[in-house]
Amino acid sequence: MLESDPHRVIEGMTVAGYATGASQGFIYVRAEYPLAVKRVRLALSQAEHMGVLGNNIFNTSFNFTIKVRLGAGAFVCGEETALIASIEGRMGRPRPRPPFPAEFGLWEHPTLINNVETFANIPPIIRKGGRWFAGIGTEKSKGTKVFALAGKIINTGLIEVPMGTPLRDIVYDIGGGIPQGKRLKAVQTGGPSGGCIPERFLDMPVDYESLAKVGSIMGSGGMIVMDETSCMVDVARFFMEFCKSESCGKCAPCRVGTRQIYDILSKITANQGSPEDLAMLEDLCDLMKSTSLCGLGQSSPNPVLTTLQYFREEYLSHIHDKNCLAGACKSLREAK
Amino acid sequence: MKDHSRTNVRSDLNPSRLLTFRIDDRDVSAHENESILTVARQNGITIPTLCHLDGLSERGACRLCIVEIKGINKLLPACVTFPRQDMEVITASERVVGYRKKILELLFTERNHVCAVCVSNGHCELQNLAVELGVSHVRYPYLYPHLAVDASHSRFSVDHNRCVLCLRCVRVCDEIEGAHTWDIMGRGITSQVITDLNQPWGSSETCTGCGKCVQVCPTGALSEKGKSVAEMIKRRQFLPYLQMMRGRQDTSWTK
Repeated sequence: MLESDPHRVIEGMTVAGYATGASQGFIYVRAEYPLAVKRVRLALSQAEHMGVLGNNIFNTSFNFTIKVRLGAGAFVCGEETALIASIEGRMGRPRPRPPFPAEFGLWEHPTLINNVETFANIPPIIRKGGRWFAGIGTEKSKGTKVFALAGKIINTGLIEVPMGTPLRDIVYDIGGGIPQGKRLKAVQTGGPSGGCIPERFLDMPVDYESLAKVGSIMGSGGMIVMDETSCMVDVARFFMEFCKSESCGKCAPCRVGTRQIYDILSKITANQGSPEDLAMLEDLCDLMKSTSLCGLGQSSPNPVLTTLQYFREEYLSHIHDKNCLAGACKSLREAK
Repeated sequence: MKDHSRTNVRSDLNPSRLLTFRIDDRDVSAHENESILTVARQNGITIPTLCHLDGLSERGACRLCIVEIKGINKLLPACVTFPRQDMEVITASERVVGYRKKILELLFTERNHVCAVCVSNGHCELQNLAVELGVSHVRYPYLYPHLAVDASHSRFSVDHNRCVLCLRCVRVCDEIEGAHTWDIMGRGITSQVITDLNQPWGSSETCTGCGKCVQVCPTGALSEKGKSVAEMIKRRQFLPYLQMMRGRQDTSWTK
């Protein structure tokens, strides 16, 4: 969004600033996306030059400026209180809510904080009206959603679909299906802490409620397609490795829990799993979900829990039969 | 980084407004700006804590003080949750106590907490919590990290093998002593407390040698030199005076 249409985000933020009485906005963007940074900075200077940003916008008394802040490589800074801490110049660690940023946010001021995609939706809503926007999507999830389609799929890249589009349409019509005629196994949505949706739910509509029902999330709009060569235990291990290294370390359940879960999954994929491991995984996932401080810790068990639920036979075959059904785990292949 | 501007008083809470609510089926009254933990303790109800220490800002990070609140699905930490009129708090349900035990077990697996050779054996908050909560064994595998001991300071030493990352040392040094010698480095499981940008404590130019960090440390991670096993008893008598003199209204939301 920031790379292809930054003015839409700037306009949305300015409207939001006008609505809430704010005069200062911040765009927080990861330093790992230099193109987005470059283009959003260019767009900001264009907007200021044209007088739609800055003092006395359109000759009114409304002033609004936007500054760009760069992230320093921490996933957890997507969590709103950690993001605010990062903008303030402190370490990107979340704090307990309440108080929510709307009451107690950036530099202790009431703060409106939203995703780029949310702000980008505002200009067309203002122009065409809320009824038009509500006409797109489902009963409860309105509008469209951008997904980053990736993995074992022919057409990868960013797609925008109305909420409620069946998963099958996304994978086979837009995505063009699975390469080399392989079978689809699962679709993982929502970024590293989203769940894996098995093939049998392919006809479900993609909206907030349906995703939550199968144990996944909309999250960042990531969508990774996996075929029969993906080992679901290894997939869970991969995502947990990411969450372990991105855990900020503030709260005990996430700091130690991600490491313990990662260790167990590594053990299973290295042909050293034991039958009690599954119960311990479930136990640790439940602990993290219920007691972690922020969204990262509460959602990072999702890939493990959904694969345990939908692909339990793969875990069991690793442990009991010393067999990786997908043939992906090297040490189990060699042991044969 | 120090932030002197941080008064951390929640503007939405009115200290002169009184309310009544229920903790474990007991009617209690509270000021609006008193946490559930504070009110529970005033009424003789024990909620286990580790990162909390009266007089320091709150972090809400150890998650041991989580409580159930009727009508709210999530478990909330009592130290940073404020009561509302007619709220019903349950401090020791089976579910909550089970989670507390597991969190404590995870903390035991994280570092090398070997009580038998620890200076704080018998005076350790982590050990006491295990006894209180009935944690007699740990079901998760120990991680056995290889961590350093820094004994470069003339009077104190830090043993990272015994640290639980409560960050009381960081907070007391910053908020009370004003030196900010201590801070935290790394993230996740690799987090570690450091002195002066990870330089040896003994070479620290900011450390005043006041020893407050040692006294507030819940375990044997920070100790006075010359103490043998089980001899390091922490002296916390100074804390109430600090609170009184500073007139701290409320505590930090930000660390």
